[in-house]
Amino acid sequence: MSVLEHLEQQTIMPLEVGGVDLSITNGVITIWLSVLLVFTVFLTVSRRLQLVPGKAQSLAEVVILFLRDEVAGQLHHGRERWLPFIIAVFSFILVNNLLGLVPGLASATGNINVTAALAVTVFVVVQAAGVARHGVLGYIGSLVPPGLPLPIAVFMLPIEIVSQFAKPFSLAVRLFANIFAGHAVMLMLLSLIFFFKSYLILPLPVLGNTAVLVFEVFVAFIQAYIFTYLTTLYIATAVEGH
Amino acid sequence: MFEFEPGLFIWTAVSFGLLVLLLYKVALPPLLAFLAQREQQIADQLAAAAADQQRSAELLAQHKKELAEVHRKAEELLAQARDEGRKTRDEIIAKAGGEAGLILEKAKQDLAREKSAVLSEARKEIVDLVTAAAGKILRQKLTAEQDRALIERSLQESRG
Repeated sequence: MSVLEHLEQQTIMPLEVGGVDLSITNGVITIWLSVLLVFTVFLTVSRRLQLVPGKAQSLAEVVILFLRDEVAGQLHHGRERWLPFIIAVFSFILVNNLLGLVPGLASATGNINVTAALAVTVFVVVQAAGVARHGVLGYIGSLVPPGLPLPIAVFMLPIEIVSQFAKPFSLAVRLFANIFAGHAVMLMLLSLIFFFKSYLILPLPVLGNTAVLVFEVFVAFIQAYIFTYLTTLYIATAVEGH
Repeated sequence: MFEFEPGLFIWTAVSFGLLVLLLYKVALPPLLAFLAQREQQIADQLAAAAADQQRSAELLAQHKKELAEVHRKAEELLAQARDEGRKTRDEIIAKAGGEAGLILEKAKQDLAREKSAVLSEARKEIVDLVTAAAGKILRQKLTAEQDRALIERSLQESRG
């Protein structure tokens, strides 16, 4: 049995709809839990708004203002309109990254299917925003920088179209790889115990895992920020052009 | 983990879409509106404070200007009062000097008149005395010593 099999999805309730396997796995449970957690926190804060904020409201305000000023600041048009989406992306990924560190819960963002679903969603949103802003032909035209000579523009357009697909791919792989790598390293360190079958090796996995766990908390925030920042950048590029 | 799992993919997309919808429609609008309102309130208060500060500076400058004007006017009034006082004093002194001269002149005139009257009276007295003395001399045959004694007595009587 491979060590990495511990990261695989465990089916909790088999479910098939129209020939598609929609089984409820521990990863799905974690995702639902993250949705419930994010929604509950923001809903609770919204229902108990105070001029002098409490701890929960302060935390929510810090997150929102950071995302609004540091991330959504790239958007010069419709910043307020896009802000809830940006908050949703960041909160969803961050909470899933952190829940993945809790023993007993699956690491959802350590699974390529989850990050791919997020990246595809972002891709659809970005393309829809670009088309809504410029129209279909206008959006395709806006993919190449303005002022280019026609032969160069014709040459660059296919490259830009490919890059549109490369962006979500890179989003998905980056998030998955970073989270997966952290869990893989922790599992490798733990497996040393079983490999050597000796208590003498114990300090290495314990101390190593502690260090990696602290680092993974940092990675959870950084990766959520990077995914959100790039998503906003793609939206800004699609809406406002080069 | 590396293979395509449509269930996890679909559940993720659906769950994330639901979260976006819930945040858009339910959870975030009050919070974002509250933050915007508070920021607007702070911006308004800062603008009002800046306006008040500007107004205070203007009022202070205006008050300083008015105070300087009041000082200037007070100095003018003081100088004017001082001039008028000096002028009045000079007039009073001049007038007093004039009146004193008149009184002195009148006193001199009175003195001269009195002197003249006294002299006239004395002259008349002397004449009378001399006349009386001459009459006595003429009525008595006297020696030279007697004449002198008589005259001296007459003079003493006239003094007495």
